[in-house]
Amino acid sequence: MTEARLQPGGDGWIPTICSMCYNQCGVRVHRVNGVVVKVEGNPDTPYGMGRLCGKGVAAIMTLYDPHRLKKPLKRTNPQKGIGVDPQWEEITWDKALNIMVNKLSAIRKDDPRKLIIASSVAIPDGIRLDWQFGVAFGTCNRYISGASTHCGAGEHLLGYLKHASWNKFADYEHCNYLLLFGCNAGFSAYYSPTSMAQKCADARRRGMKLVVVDPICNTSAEKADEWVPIRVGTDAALALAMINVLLNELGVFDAAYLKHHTNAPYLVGEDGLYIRDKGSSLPLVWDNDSPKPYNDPTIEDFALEGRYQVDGQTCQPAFSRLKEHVRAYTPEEAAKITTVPAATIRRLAQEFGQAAQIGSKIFIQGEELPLRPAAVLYFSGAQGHKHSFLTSAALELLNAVVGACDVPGGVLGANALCLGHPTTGLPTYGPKEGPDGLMVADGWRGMRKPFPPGRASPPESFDLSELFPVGIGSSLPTVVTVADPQGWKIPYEAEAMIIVASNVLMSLGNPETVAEAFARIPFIVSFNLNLNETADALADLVLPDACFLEKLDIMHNRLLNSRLPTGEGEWALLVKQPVVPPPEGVRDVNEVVLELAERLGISGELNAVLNVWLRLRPPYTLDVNKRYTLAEIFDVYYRCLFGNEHSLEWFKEHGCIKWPKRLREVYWRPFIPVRTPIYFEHFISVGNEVREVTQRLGLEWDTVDYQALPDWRPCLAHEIKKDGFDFYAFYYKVAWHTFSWTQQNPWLDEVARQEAWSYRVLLNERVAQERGIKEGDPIWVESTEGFKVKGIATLSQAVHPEALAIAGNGGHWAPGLPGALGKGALGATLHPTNFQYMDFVSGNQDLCAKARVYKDKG
Amino acid sequence: MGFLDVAVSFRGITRGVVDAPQVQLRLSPDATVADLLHSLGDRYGPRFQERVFAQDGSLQSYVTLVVNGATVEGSDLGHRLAAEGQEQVEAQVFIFSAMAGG
Repeated sequence: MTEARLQPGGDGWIPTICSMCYNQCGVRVHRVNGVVVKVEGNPDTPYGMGRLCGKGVAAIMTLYDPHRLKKPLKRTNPQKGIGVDPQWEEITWDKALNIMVNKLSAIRKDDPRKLIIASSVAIPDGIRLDWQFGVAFGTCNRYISGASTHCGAGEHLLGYLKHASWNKFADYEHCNYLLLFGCNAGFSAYYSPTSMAQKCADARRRGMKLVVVDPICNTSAEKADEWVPIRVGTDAALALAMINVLLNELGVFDAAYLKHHTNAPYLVGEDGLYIRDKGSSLPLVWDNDSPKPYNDPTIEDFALEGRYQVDGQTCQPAFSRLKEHVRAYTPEEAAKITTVPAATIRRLAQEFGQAAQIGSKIFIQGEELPLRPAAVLYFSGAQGHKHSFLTSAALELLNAVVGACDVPGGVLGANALCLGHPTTGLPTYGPKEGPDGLMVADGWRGMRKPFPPGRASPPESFDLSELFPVGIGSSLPTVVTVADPQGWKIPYEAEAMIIVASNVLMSLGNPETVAEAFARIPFIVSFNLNLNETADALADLVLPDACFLEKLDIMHNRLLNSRLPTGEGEWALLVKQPVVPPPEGVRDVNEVVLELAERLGISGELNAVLNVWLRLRPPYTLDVNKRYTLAEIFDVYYRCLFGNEHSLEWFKEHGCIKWPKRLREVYWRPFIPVRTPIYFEHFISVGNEVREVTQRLGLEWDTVDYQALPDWRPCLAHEIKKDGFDFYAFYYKVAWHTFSWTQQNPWLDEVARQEAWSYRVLLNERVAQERGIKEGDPIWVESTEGFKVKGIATLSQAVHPEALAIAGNGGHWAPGLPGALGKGALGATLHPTNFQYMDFVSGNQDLCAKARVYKDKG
Repeated sequence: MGFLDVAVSFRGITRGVVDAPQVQLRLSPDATVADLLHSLGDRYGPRFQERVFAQDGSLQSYVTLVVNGATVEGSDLGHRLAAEGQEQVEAQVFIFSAMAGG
């Protein structure tokens, strides 16, 4: 790191963390005469491995954006809404904080749950003090704006259940066959893109075959061996048909893996529930001639198939259930649903099963491990639909039946097991055995854990998290419930909302719907870099936040898992440090939150919460009777993890601590005796409980998707039949924009203006020509619900003829974002943003709409 | 046979779950985490029990217990609150809310 240290006089290369998206790549920033002149990847950290995407390079233009907020603003027009002039008045920080303290003091005394805190999935601060502040304040209403819209509530749910991790990758070191469903993992988006793109490229050079299933020939598909165009929102049908071919036509499955590492041998009765041992209540399996608890040491062989009688009940192993269940998904039936030819489905299944090399072994570092060099990955495109959980489960089962889970060559949960730094053994987390022998994960990100399931109970939170006992939650319900808390049996109304680094009108759904709902909240504060649409339409106070290059912070990835490259390599933890001071009048939101806590008299509570959240251990804990600066908190954190010599100052000088991953951390499955579900038995009882609660309260709530084995079910868009509406409109991401907040960046805007996707609506060339639409034509996209969005047509042969793809989150209208004004379109405008467009298990939003397209006559 | 005095602080999302931020309990000297939580459950009723315990009797994933400054592993309900001869213990029950999103 010598070259990264500051030179005498204060200028030089400074190591820090990029925060132009959520991926936290390590960067070094060149400062000359106190001015940032360059941002580049830091080769001394595995977060990016010296590579940096265009967004990171362009960070300098966000830092020096002349349209950044520089002073707190107060709304003087009591009317709120889109298009209403807020009549801003500049005020001092002191006055702004006095207003906040007065409002928040009264709310905390009355009922702290009346405060909502909305963070952002796009701009992660490491400590996210607004989260901890919310807990210390006593509100249960905290959500991540944009989650469940851009992200993957279904995919992350399965990441936990199957891989003990938030996200996952193929083991690019050994994978020979990768199937991507609606996903650009290893190419452009998803997690750790700069590092994983290199690993993936190396794998491709080594000969890894790539097949991409997607309605459009996306960033990964254009580089693939094969692109399989599929009808929007039908991926589960394809996956289930492939499983059917594997199990029932080819007889290909990893029996040893299924017997010893999953619940495949657990006996299931006719009611769908496990048959349990009368004494221990443990699930039974069948061994030779008798049933035994699954962990009986005398078991010689677990039966995977057959029908048995136990205590007068007919039962069969869960695997038998799966095998019978998928018989309905013949390639011929799936072809009707997906438009993928039956022969292609059979071939893909055969290739995938063959590539998995079931039974093969590999020696790595002297250890013999199973080798399963085939993997299925999926994300927003596949699972961003009405039945997100079922789709994710179907796709995940493809990996499970061939045993390609957390072993060389298969799918790896992203850094699911950490045994800690060699000197301290910290941080430490990993999968453990939970109820029924099933896996409980530890390295989880503060969301509700999908297993063991929580309890369904009457709603108390605006996000209705009480009705998602296995889901990780969603930002969508807040839009619905804030508008009608009584109708949803929430025992209070929203009185205040603090929005941090988020533009909720552009990231939660239909802007009109969101604005109408949140305009009911009497007091809204927005911390942001710019005066965006949300601030302009809804905020009572707008407070200028610092840019990440002006901030001191720890890593968002405090448990090292989801942002660190997956697979062999190094563990690492970085520091975010200010490269330049914020402009006069601008303050880091985290510092403001510390001051707010002190003025509200809850600093002690905040310290107590931070002790737990940061997993601090004596003697490195925060005293609840003391007040700390951010630097002091971070100093305690780093010393706790890595020993007294690794202070904050050490991190600021070196930028990064790293150490090698151990083999058993990377490929943990053979070493940890836990099972994962191929049969989601507990979903049945959870669904029953949710149904009981909602029926008792008279709430309309769909529980049909709480089932033990996945099915393909249609989205609303598949069921609507209306003449002329024959497209499936959906939203997709481009790699050079982060959701809705980077369109203001002039370099990224320049990139977007020079290509044919970011600001355009993509549709099939032949189909467009049949409608008289040419490249560059202004067009209207109109959904069956009557919502419309205007765009510019871009035509390609490499688009499914029924698909209509809207890139990114454009269509800005806020005067505070002049660089972004009017560019692109916002796909979410096509939806009414209600529960008809939501997965009731995971909370994921369904982002496809049945639509028609026509030329703009104006 | 002596007693163990436990000073319990409640932190986080406690509205409607407990009626005060602190409470003093007297338990047997060999009391475990489970004894403490069940004692609190008896005191505060079903609302507390539902909030703290999952269906299978384990701790809800968003409940954390800190005893004398050290976090108790969520599954270790049999963990003894006090060492032999210790007569006073400080316990903090944290009820977090799950962040919505993913």
